[in-house]
Amino acid sequence: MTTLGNAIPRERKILSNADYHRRLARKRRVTFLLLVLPALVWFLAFMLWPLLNMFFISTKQWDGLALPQKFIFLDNFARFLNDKNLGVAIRNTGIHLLVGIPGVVPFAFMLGFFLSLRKPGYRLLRTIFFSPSMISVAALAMIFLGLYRPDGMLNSFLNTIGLSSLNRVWLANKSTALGAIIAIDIWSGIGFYGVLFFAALSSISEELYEAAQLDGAGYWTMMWKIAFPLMLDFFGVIIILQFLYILSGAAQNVILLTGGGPGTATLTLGYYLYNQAFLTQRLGYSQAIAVLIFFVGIAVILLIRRITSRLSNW
Amino acid sequence: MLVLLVVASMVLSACASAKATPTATNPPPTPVPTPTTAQPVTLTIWHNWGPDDAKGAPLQSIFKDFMAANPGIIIKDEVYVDADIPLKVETASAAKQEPDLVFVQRVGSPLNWTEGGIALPVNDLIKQWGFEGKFTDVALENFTLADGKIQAFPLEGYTWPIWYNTKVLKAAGVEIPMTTDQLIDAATKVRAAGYQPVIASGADGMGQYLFTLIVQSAMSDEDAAKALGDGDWTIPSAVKGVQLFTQLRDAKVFVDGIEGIDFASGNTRFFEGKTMMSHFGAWSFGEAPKELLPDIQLGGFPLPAGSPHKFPVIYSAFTAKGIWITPNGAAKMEAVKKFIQFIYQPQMIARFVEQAGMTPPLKDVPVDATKLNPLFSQSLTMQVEVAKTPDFFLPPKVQPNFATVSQEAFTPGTTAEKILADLTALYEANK
Repeated sequence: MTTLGNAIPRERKILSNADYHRRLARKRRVTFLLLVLPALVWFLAFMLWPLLNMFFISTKQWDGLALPQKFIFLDNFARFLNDKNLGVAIRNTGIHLLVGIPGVVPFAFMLGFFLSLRKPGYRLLRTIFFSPSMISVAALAMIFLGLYRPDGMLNSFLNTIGLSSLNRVWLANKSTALGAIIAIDIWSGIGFYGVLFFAALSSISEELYEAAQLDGAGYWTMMWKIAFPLMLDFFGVIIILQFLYILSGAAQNVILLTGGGPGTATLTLGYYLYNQAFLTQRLGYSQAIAVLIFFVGIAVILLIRRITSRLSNW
Repeated sequence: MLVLLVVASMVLSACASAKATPTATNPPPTPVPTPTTAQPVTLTIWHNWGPDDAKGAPLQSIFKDFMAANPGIIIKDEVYVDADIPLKVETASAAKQEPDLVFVQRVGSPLNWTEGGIALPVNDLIKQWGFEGKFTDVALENFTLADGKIQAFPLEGYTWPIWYNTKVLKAAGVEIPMTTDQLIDAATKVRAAGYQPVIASGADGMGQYLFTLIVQSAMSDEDAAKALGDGDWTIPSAVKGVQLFTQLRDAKVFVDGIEGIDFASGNTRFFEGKTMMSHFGAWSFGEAPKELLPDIQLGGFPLPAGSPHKFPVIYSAFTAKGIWITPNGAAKMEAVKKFIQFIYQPQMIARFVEQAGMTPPLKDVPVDATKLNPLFSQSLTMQVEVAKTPDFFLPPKVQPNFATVSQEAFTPGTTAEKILADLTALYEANK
């Protein structure tokens, strides 16, 4: 049974327009914070905290996981000045960057452009070029170990074509070891970044190419006069990815194949960090090197972004 | 200077007899199993003696017999690569998840384990558990810190001799070289006969041991300690030793491309019978092909003119393996005690000696001489001197990077001056 009292609406507070919007904004803020909170907690716990720890440990003398730590403030950074190996590592990393970026990114772009033309068989080629990225690092190292051995495939090939005078112990020769390591990164990098470029280039309308072809443009012109300017931002991203890989990730091949040797021929910053942390057990100093790499990384990323954005505007 | 006319003096006193019996001073025999209603205790053990290692089978048989004799204790063993074990233990220890016992060599970071609380010193346990006077002095010394703490129970010793292939030498018409001049002559003739001379792992960490052995062949023990330990590579005998190394290298005493050869491929090439000499430790005794055994003669590295040594040099030490007790193990000390007393029974250690040619850490081990690996038996009668194993002297921070210098030293064209400068720089950088 319905009563009259139940039918009468309760008195409601009438909000002013400003109050309503203020309350709505507050509600949205709370909702936003609640939605962001898990990601924020994740970021603080697993990203920011380890990063802060890196800075913290870099101020310590810590000579092994089993040993106590001692606060030495900036002494690890002062050590940079007298560390000849660090100078060698910076030089080798510089060489790696100077060869490894121009040796990969433009060719990857060209490969990506070629694939984006979707000629017959491009799917198979895309898979083949991407396959080095699907091989585990250890397996890749084994492949190149077999290739570079004194009696390996490379020297055998040189013998077969009558160039045995070019035979080298590639990974153990001071003049070829770093080049041999860089070659691995170039070999595997072109295919990987080529497929990334292909994905990005697929967004360019085919009409643009068709119009250019009507004007008599060839593939080379279309690639560099149409695709490249449109891909400039993405080009910058790929350069940053390759730069970051060489700065730290490329150490994996050095660890597996040369251990920084012979002598210091393949000592790079990334490997030196590993060496100081896990082999020499100088944990505080290794984190000081990590801080150096961190700031160099940020500085160069900003530089690359600035250059590519200027070129885009230009 | 320790003359190692017979390594047996520190290993097997009972080896001469066909089959000796345990002495009265041995630890108590295997206890008779007793029924128990208590919860079983699990002992977790990390080691690297897997099925591919000659010591794997005897170790598993000991585990099996121990569990049969002690129904209340379960052994849970995990096999890892030897070089990976220290870091695994250290990270596990940080989470208090380390194994109860660790079988690992006393090289590198384990040297810090006692100070860092990752492993307990065993001085008192040796006394309390009835092992006083049982271990050889050198085995205990090799596990003792400067402050007198014994870091672990020594388990595996080794000799690290030079292996000569007499068939190759005979084909070249030469005898086993006793001097470096004879070595150069032999290498030339061996090459002419279609074989390769000395193989070693120039590309990895094992090559540094041959490098330092050759360098030490020109040095006294005192000078070797100064150079290897203190980094004083300016002393005349150290300079002479490095010059000797480059002289041998440039005389093509080593196989072609030695700077690119790793330990595994070096092993393979020697065992294929294609090379005159190699430098393998006792751990390879069980890996030598049977058909090659009659041709292998063990000895030391030839000496240069004016060497302070009387006999060719080899390495020998007991640091290859120790049993380390962790804090988790200490919490199960009764079970650990039973296991340690079980595995260190002379008849148990004898299994490793007979089946794997392991140099035992105990003074009295009853072995059946007929069961011994022929190379192990041969190693007991070598007329050699023991040089300083670099592991004892290289500062912990120098040790991991020493191989990069030795690898460069194996590379043709690297001068003695460059090697000496690199060695000095290595010690300077790691002070």
